[in-house]
Amino acid sequence: MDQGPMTEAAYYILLALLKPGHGYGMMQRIGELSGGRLVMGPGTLYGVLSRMCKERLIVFTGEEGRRKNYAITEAGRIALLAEFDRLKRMVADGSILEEAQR
Amino acid sequence: MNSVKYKFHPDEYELGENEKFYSDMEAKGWRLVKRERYLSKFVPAEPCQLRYRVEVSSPEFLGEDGLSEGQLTVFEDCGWEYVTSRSFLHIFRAPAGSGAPEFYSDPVQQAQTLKKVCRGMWISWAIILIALAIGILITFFSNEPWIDKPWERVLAVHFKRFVRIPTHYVMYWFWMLWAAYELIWSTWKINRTYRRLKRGIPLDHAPKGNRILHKLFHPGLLCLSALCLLLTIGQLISTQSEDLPAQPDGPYIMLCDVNWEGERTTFMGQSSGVTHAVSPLADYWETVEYIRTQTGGSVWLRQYVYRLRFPGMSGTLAQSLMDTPILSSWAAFSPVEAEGFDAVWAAGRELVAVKGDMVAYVMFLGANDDGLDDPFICAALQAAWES
Repeated sequence: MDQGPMTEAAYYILLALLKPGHGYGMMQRIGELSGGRLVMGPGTLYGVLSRMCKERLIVFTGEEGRRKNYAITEAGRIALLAEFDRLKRMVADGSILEEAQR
Repeated sequence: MNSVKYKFHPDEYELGENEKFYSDMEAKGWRLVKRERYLSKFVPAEPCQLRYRVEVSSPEFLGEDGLSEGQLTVFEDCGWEYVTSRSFLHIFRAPAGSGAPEFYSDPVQQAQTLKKVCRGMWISWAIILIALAIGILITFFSNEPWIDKPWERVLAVHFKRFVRIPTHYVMYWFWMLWAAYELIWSTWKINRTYRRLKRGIPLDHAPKGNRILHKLFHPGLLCLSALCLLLTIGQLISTQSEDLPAQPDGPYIMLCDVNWEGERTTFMGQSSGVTHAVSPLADYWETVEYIRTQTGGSVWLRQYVYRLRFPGMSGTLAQSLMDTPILSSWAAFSPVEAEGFDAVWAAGRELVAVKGDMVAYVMFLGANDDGLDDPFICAALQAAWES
């Protein structure tokens, strides 16, 4: 995967897949993780899932009835951590805003 | 009450228009059950407010698998009911206010689903242009015997046919116009949607405007083409071909008119006959006559006679006849003085004559004959046209 900024959808899907699950479960988990801020549509979810499968950030693990289960791969975990670090740095860099507001 | 209703739907490249169309039909009490190429099938239902949404997923030939079972499951788990699919469009519905999330929270993500469809449009353009180029090349090289002026000859052949069966050509023009319009419209529409999504503008699920011109123009061209097809079929059915009568029943000449008597015979299995067609541009007679003379020689005469409804076309038609002779070279025709005619040209055994709205091409082959007796033929033609 290129190391450019990750989209919000991709970031939350990887976060949700720290616990393997199916598409609908992921959407619910993303809602929980974002405190209801992010409502991911099924189209967005499947678009990102298929792209991340091709990039081997996630992997198809099996079926549960009609539902497909996915899990994050080691490459996906590394990419997620890299994005997390990037976001942390950005937040840290932005701390001057708080100082400026004081 | 009707149990089924079919209705023309918006083009498959009009995503928002389709969503609005099906939602409006539902509100009127007609529920979508199937989408065909041009028509959608509805059944009666209690009028209600439903949201219809279309998901674009290209078929396998464009490198995607279409709508997967897993994808379908997630859509349904989110409260969307799958209805039907056609081409790359997959249609879902959910009750208004049900809380079923929109398919895409990010327009840029949705733009990606249109990328392959847009590419498919350009592939269609490439195929059409290649087919057109091949058609032009085949037309050009299939006229190999006519080394000189190939394009003029192709145009001349088609002008003659156009005078005989104009509706056939008009049908093609309307059909090609319809096909070109559909392709241009679809390309513009899908690329416009793609660009807007790419810029982050969400898809408009209820676009305004009734596109009255498009609604009239698009099917109108197809209807005109179909009408011309029916007229062409009607003309072909009414075209009469029969054995050549003993005396002319139209403004054409026979061998007896130029003092050739003999027994009717056949040539390469073809017997003497006359074909009469009535087109919107002309009455047309085509005759061929073969006789065996008392001395045993063969004589034959072929002619095309047109009575034009628009005499202004006579010059172009005469030129077309001279550009496509059977025996001579196009360059061989030279003017001949003939009283009572607007113009006459002759080349060896062939002759083209024009008088008012009448145009004729005559080819004469006689035993031991070195050429056409032009004044004799002209006199016979004049008599036939005046009678």
